[in-house]
Amino acid sequence: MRKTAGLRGLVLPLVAAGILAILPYAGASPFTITLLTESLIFAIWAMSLDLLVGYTGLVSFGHAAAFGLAAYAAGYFAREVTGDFFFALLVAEAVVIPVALGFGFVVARVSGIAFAVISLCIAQVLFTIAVTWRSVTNGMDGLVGVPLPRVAGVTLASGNAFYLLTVLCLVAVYLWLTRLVDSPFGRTLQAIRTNEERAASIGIDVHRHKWLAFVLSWAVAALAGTLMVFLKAGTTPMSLHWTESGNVLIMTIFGGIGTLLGPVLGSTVFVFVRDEFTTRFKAWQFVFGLVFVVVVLLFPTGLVGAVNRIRSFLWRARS
Amino acid sequence: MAGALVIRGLSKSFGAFRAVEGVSLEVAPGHVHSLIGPNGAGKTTAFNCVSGFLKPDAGQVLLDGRDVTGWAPHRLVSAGMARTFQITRVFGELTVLENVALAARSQEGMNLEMWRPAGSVATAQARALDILTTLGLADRAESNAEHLAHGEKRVLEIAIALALQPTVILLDEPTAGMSSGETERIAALIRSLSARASVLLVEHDMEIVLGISDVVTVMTQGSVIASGPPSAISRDARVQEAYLGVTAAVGAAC
Amino acid sequence: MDLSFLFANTVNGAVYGAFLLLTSLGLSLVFGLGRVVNFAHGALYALGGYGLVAVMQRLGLGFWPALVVAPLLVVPIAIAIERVTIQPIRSRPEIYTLLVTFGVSFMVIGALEYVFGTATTLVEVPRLFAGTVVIFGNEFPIYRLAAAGLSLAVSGAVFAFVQFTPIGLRIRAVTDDPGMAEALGVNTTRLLTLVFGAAAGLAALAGALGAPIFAVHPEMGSGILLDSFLAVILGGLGNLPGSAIGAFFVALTKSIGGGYVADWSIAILFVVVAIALVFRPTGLFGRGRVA
Repeated sequence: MRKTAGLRGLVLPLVAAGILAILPYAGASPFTITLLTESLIFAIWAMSLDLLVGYTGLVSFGHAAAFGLAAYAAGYFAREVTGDFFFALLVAEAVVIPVALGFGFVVARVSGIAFAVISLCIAQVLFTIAVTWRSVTNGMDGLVGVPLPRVAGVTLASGNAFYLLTVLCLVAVYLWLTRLVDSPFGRTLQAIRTNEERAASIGIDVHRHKWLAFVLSWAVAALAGTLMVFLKAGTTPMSLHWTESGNVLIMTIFGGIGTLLGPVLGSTVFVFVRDEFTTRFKAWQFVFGLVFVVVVLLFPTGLVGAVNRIRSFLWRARS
Repeated sequence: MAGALVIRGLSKSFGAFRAVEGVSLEVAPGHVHSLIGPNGAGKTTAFNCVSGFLKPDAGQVLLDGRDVTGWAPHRLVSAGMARTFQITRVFGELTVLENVALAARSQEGMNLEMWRPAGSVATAQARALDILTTLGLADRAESNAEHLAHGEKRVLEIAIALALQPTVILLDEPTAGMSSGETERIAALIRSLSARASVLLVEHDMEIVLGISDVVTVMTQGSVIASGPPSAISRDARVQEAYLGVTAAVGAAC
Repeated sequence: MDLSFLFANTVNGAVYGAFLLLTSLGLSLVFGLGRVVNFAHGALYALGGYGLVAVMQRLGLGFWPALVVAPLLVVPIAIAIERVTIQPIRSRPEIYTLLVTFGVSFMVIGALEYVFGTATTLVEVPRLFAGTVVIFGNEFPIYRLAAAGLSLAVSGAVFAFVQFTPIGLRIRAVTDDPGMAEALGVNTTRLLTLVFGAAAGLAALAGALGAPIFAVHPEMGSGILLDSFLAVILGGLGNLPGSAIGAFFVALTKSIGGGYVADWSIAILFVVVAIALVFRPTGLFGRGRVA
């Protein structure tokens, strides 16, 4: 049973990826493609948060830190040295991972509200640095002039080309993370989420695992940040602001934590709805807050959870 | 055979309150050693100090000669100590088999394995099923742990502990909240455990304890007042006084 | 070392500290009582400021009547928030109240933006305290000092209330040992609603009182919210004297440090708090555990 599940687990994502890849050539407008690119980047970012929140049980209010830090690092490198995507990504990881190792070691000692508050503080520190260190970050005006990305020497000049790169990244991350959460390591994370003390009593080194989960989640978020800085040809300190952390949190929760697929759905819905709203109504922030509150109160399992509940309800209704 | 647990001069205070004072006991390999005493005697505190959930203020815990005093729980597991919890803490959303397999994989050092699917670790799965079969829970292997009856959850806790291949098993009030039938079953189970590991258990129920233990240590108000084989303990005047509040003379007449 | 500069910063820091005290006390009380971390506290502060503006503009009231009315308008809103969004999920892990109040803050700020726009509104200093006073060669608006004094007076009243009244006793009992207090017949649910409302009133008062000094705009609460968090975490959640010390520590660090190392002082503050939280989850002065 394990083997076929593994194969089936591969087929669906690949089919979905295929559908996504064809969209630009099946009549989707360039604007839709750009929005979709943004959603898929957020999807990667949200999945990385889900690893922390949904699988390890650590709710971070500062996940923008990883995202924004990577954006700045990759963007700066691309502007000053070369726009090669993979090198920029390498640089972003080279900056983000050591920082995550440092912060993660400290922050992994706590959980719950303390973790939430400290993660918020970390992001705020980076935000303040981004705003203040004008010589490097250009302050509130942000980093500009990031060139078009290049992959293996080919410049990705069209939106479609970059979109395809994003789809590729999303699929790779999704496959890897689904593998990860099903591994013994993933299971121990879930055990930690359920009950830290119990996990410790069966020999799990809780601190080390939380630390690792933190670093892995930042590493994946860094990919999202790198993609974003190329998409927007730059970044501002707002990519580190706690409102951004709030955005990715709602995407993840709304989609359904602990499912990996949930965050993907959540971010797509979020980006498209936000786009609709901000162009039409002024009350985006209010609606955003309302949805957040409703989801937390009534649908803590998010979209995916709601779908599952409907499915099992229909199943029971049938039998 | 391994499994010698030596506790010397264990002390723990909470502010001005001396919960445990100078507690010493020795669990010989293969023995069932019970730690018993009335409510508030400090047994649970002592137990938590030994199993790494509290840091003792003073004293030593030696496991097969190794000083493991104040070690964190996960380190104690690798040293060969496993424990169960009074309020069962099985992973409810996982199946019974998964609960035990999780512990088995942990024991095999697989916790950092990030690529292979967890279910493919055949050795862990096999061992888990083995243990469940021995303990009579194999037919519930695929049920979610939260759906088990209270007594079955207790057995599951022991199964999880066994998967860690300990030399010493610490049982925290294993019969709490059980019917007399379930209690009998657990008592027999505990006796059978001593073939694989030493057992230190904390209990309330004097009757059960006298029936299954090789050695009984009695605590009241933070200190040990008596320690020895069940026959000696049941006749010990001070124990009777602590438990029943009767004088030695009356006790002797019973 | 320019003493005059230092003095000016210290006074301004103390002034901010007085306001921060009002918001921090409320935050600390609510957490100590119900282990609820109210992320919407800053939004309530903003609501107070806008309440003042609205009452003055739409109802034509003077500053001082508006100062009384504004918090009274915010309290029922806060109680409604507590009833609808917080009470239902009290049995869930604590992180949920943090999440839900996070959402509520977006709702409130979004509503303020929608109704009042995003521009900054300036509020005139009331005539009673108009003008400036010169101390040690530095000019200070009189209102600043008066408002700070008023904040301190109200804070003092809160301290006294908690320390010397029967309700205050119940608050302290529940903060110390909720189970025991309930067993002794204290209605903790109702108490929490009451305290939540009062805390909101304090925050709203701070927002209204500070309007002539700090101006009014929808995001005005986010700065003081984070600072309040820092103050309360440093001082120990549920520990009122500790929160007071924390509030002034944060305010003075920002003000004095800000004078020399600009925004880095804020960064340093965050680092200090993060480290403190890791090593002393009960806050530097102890009480409710955060971790």
